Amino acid sequence: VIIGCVSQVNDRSAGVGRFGWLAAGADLINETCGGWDHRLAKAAEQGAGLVCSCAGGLAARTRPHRVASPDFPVLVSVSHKEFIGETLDAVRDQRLTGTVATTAVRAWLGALVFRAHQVIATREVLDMVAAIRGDQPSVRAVRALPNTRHQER
Amino acid sequence: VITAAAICPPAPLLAVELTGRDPVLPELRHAAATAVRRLTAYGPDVIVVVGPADRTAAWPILGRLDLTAYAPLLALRDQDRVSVSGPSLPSALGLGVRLLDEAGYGGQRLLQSVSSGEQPTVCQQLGAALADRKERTGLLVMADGSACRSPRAPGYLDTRAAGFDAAIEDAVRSGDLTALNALDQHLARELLATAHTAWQVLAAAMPSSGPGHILYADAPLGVYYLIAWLADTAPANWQNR
Repeated sequence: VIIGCVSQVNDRSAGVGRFGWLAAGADLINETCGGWDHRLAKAAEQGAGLVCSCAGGLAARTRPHRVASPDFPVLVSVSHKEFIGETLDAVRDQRLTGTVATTAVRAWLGALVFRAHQVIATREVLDMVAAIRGDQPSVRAVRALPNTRHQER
Repeated sequence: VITAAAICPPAPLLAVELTGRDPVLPELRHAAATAVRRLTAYGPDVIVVVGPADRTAAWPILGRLDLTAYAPLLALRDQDRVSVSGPSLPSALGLGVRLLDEAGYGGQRLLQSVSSGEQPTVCQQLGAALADRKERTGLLVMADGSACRSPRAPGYLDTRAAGFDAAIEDAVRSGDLTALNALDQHLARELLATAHTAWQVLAAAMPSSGPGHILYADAPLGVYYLIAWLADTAPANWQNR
């Protein structure tokens, strides 16, 4: 799990302005409408990540955690999504638990980039999963380490 | 002949890979590194590492620090690394070996563990045998004090602990190490001071020296840590350090 922040631009139409965003330093283009625009693919060739997020976004039963690519890092954009609302019968501002649960599962399965609304909660979930996976050490751990007594057989 | 001795705590938290991304007690780690560098500055022919363990034994000199008990995942990864080989040591000795390695000491070393329940006569014999060695011998004693200095200490707060630890500190500070023999074994057990037999080995090997140079003396996590070095004279190449 890679932990860091990138800037992202939502862009439903591959207008001229998009390339302005790229010049301004956007790292990702989040193309959520599901259609494929060849000009967006061109932008991706220039080094921006390209996201097409219709897959699995309709309902939990479509198994969004199965979205995977052996060749590219997978970005997950599940925060507050409708499928969480459908699963938990939760309106938009009640979807934090569903969001972090989905985030944890996707991180465990190897997704590398996460689009988030609650940044701190998401970051903590990712730090926790990273520690459990063994990808990243804790911040500070001294419990049971001040002396050797209890570890000797 | 014993040229010098260094004292460091056998605290697993000295192993940086266990304690996380934040620097944990950097002053403690720095003091330990300094003490061992002082020890090696005397140019010993051999350094003997002495530390507490569940039994008294001499250990293979190629032994290594084994952190499996503290971080199984870490140990699993170490299996893939070529550099990690050799039999596992009790953690007190393994930590001492690592301190020697980190100080760049490449000379001969011997590793001796002492059971916390060892008889005083055996501690006396072990220490005397070290003192009788013909080579210039350095001692790295991996020993700490009580583990009862605060409510969050491994052994909870015990009001007798401060006095117990002060006696150790006074002995080292004065250089009159025979005072370490007065440590009450029964009290040591109650205060989880598992290194008290290692202290006795030090006392027997080096009954007296010049005043101890104390680099660290505190109990930040409820376990009393004393880092110091002891010698009769300054090392020959002192100016170079």
